[in-house]
Amino acid sequence: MTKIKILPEILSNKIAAGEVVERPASVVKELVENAIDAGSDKILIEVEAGGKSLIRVSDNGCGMGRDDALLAIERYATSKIATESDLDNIGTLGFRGEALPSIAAVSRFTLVTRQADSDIAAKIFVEGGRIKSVGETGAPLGTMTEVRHLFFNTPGRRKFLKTTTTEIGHIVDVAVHAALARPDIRVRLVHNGRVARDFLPVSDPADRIADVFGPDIRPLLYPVKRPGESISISGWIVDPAMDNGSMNRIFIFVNGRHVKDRGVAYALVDGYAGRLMKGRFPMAVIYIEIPPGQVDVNVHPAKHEVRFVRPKEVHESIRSAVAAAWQSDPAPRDQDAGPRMGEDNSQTEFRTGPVFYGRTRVSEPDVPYDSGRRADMPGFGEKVMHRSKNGQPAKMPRKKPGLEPGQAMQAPIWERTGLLDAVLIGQFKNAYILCEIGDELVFIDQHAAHERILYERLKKKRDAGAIPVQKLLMPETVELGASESALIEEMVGDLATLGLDIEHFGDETFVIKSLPAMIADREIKPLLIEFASELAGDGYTPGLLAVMDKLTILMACHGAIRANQHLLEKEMRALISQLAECDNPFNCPHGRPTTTRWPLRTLEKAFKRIV
Amino acid sequence: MRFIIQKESISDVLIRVQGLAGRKTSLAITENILIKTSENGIIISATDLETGFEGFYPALIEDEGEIAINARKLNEIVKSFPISEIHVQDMENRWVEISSEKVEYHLVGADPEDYPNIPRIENVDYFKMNSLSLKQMIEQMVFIAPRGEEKRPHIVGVLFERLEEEGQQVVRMVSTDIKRLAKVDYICDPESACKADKSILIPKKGLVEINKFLEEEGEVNIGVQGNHFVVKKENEIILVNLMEGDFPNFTPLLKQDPSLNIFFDKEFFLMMLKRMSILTSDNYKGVVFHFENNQLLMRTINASLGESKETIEINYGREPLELAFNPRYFIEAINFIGTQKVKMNIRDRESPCFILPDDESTNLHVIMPMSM
Repeated sequence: MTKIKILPEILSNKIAAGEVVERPASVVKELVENAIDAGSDKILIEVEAGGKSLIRVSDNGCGMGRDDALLAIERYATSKIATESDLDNIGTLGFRGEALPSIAAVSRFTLVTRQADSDIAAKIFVEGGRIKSVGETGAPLGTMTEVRHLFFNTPGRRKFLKTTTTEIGHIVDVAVHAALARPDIRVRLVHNGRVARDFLPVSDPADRIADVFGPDIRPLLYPVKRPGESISISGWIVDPAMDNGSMNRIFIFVNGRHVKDRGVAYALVDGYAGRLMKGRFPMAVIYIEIPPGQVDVNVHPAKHEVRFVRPKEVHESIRSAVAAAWQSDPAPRDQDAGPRMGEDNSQTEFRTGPVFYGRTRVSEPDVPYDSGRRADMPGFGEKVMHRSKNGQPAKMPRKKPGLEPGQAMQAPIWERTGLLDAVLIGQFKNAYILCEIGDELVFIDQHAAHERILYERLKKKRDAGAIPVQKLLMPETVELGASESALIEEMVGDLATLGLDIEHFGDETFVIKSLPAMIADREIKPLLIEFASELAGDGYTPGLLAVMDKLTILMACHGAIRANQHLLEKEMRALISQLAECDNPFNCPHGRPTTTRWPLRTLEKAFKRIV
Repeated sequence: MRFIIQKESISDVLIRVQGLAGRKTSLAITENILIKTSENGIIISATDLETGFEGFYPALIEDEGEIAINARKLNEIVKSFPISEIHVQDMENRWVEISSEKVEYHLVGADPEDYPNIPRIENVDYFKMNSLSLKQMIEQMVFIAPRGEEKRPHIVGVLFERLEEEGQQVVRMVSTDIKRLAKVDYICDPESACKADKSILIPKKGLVEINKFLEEEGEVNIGVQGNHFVVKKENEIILVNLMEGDFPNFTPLLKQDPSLNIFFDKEFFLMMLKRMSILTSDNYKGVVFHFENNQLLMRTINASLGESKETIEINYGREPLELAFNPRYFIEAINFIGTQKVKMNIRDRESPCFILPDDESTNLHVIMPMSM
């Protein structure tokens, strides 16, 4: 008797479900993707109890005939690809042919679907993977898929479901991803009979972003546009003031598919070039259009991950697209840009001033933008604005406590010209310059500001291409690990343009013949290993340039005036005007703010002149 | 322990050991020096764990014993002591009293038992070197100093060789930071007892400490024993732990073609380089050298500061040649040239440039060009 047997199909579908159907949100994701692939422009998602008892997705797409519908719940049955070569050119969101049978294997599953050329819809009911009934019914054009009692026959999996709040949070995420991916589609999410999200079709994707994150985000959006022959990048990046400790507010869509990709996220951070503090991530919505042959989406059953054939090119496209976006104007800002610092906390006293300890921002709304629409929903609103439903500041994500006060108000980038109108008041504690700009009291950290000025000067010289190179009397040999040397070998050309003349000497040995004069006194081996490990980590980091940048920052830092240094009035004025000329006057090269601002209203409130 | 010592006998040595005792180590005891009584004098020991020192100084011993005492404070006290005769004695709980009739200090001492042992070196085959020559050699080595956290042995250390060349005993020292190199030869007196032996690497830091003890006249004994480089004077001995590691083979780099020699007046060339380096900065270290038609044109272009240029008449009839150098490397090398004329041997932009005295003497400096 053989020990190895082919698994019965129902069992193998259940196993496949383990990969594809992790939680109710994965069901929603698969069904919504099917709806989009079917060409729908309206998608209704109805869930009950966080999707644990019911998930129903209805669309107005092309629908299926009775036979196709029956086939669709067979494993590896799909209309989306037919031949092997199609796999290299996937234009649809789904293609594996696994989703429906997997879902049907672990739920009570009903499929109702009607094509345009038929008056009658097919209705199929499947329970735990077994087709229980096939019939006909009347139904509107399109497909309705109903999933009840998910995991009813896999109690092990059922145990791992989290609370309704958590599960619906994940479903909201899925709806938001779909909404951001396709602004032209109406996406409506109903939970326990109440409308949780309703995104109407819009022609300008920025409107959809505003719908998702609240209208106050609009003035903070910088459009990204980089059409290209092979890779096109578009989307919006958000002012660095809206930064975040994690990557979960970076939304990346590759050919319309929402994916999570650290490489893309790091490329974004590179594009922010010094506008972010180390370890902080921006908020952004980025669409990458790339020929299907240039990207592998078949990495993960749920297709969360992708691999690019030429990651370096993608990285550079994104970085340069984002870097260029700062040159453009943000979306027009409302005249009354909404509440300012501390506005929703009128009890605040100046002295204790929690307003200065929270991450209050210039254009933070005082009410949740979506209040009333979905009182019981956790999800994006709170995540983005750190608000709870009653409009009070929710618990802020904590950073190092020592950093909090200085970050009270970081001026947005487009107000740099304001610095030119600064009226000097004086110096505080020999460390901060006080001045008046319009209706605001502005503090400038003299060290950070000078650091920024020097950094930009040094960087300009460096970027002018005149990198002096010191030749070495005795070429230095460096032994690297196998993976590191493979990466460095690829970079030899790039490194040479930066003055690092390096030759592959066989196996894992490299010979260095010259160094950029700036780093000629440093030992090169640790630097090389550092680039190589960064390369290995992200897939693509413009290694040496980044390290040259670190060195530039270091030199700027050493050259800059310190705190506890008395400045003459003339010196302060010079510092402010030089700062105003910087490309990014609002952050030191390490990403710390150079300025912090107290609006007049805050003072007036502190003195109880207004309430 | 109790002794009386003349201020003059120890004031010099206390200054000289500051570098050893002042070095920051995790072993706090090495901030102290160890004082031990001996016959008709005291033995002072200091160490930074890499370099060890021991010296004998006459004193009137009244009671035997040993103390460990803060080197910096003892030096300051002795330096400003009002009279020549200093009384030192230990008291309970390792307190040390330093006094005269009118002045009295009580210093907190450390436990002499904790003081690291300075290795006993015996049966060393010493050879003799002129003290001043050794001092000058060391100066030409240690000016190429390792930076910061440098760990590469051939940069942290100096190559020390004993060779026989053309029937002469030669001591050769070579120092580099891989962008430049300095090599100095010392021809030993036939009576010096120097013998060819294996090459060693001596840390530059240790050489700096040795230099503090070298006088301008007389001779010193040099030896290599086990893991130590030893310099012995009449009453003082210094040991430096040798380094492990290889020194790159530099000999092929030193080939010069005599037809490429260019001669300069040392003082003028030095001043010219100083004038040109005024407009260099950390970011713009380079000065461009343009050789053409019996002229050298030097220029500095620094976008943030300005430009400068200067010409000098020289013997140069070859094809025009333009290359750049870090002028600091030149200035530092030329400072060690003892002759009135400096010889520069320069081939092209890729090859090292040599700086040497115009007599056939023994020091050579090699500098790699930059490209701008």
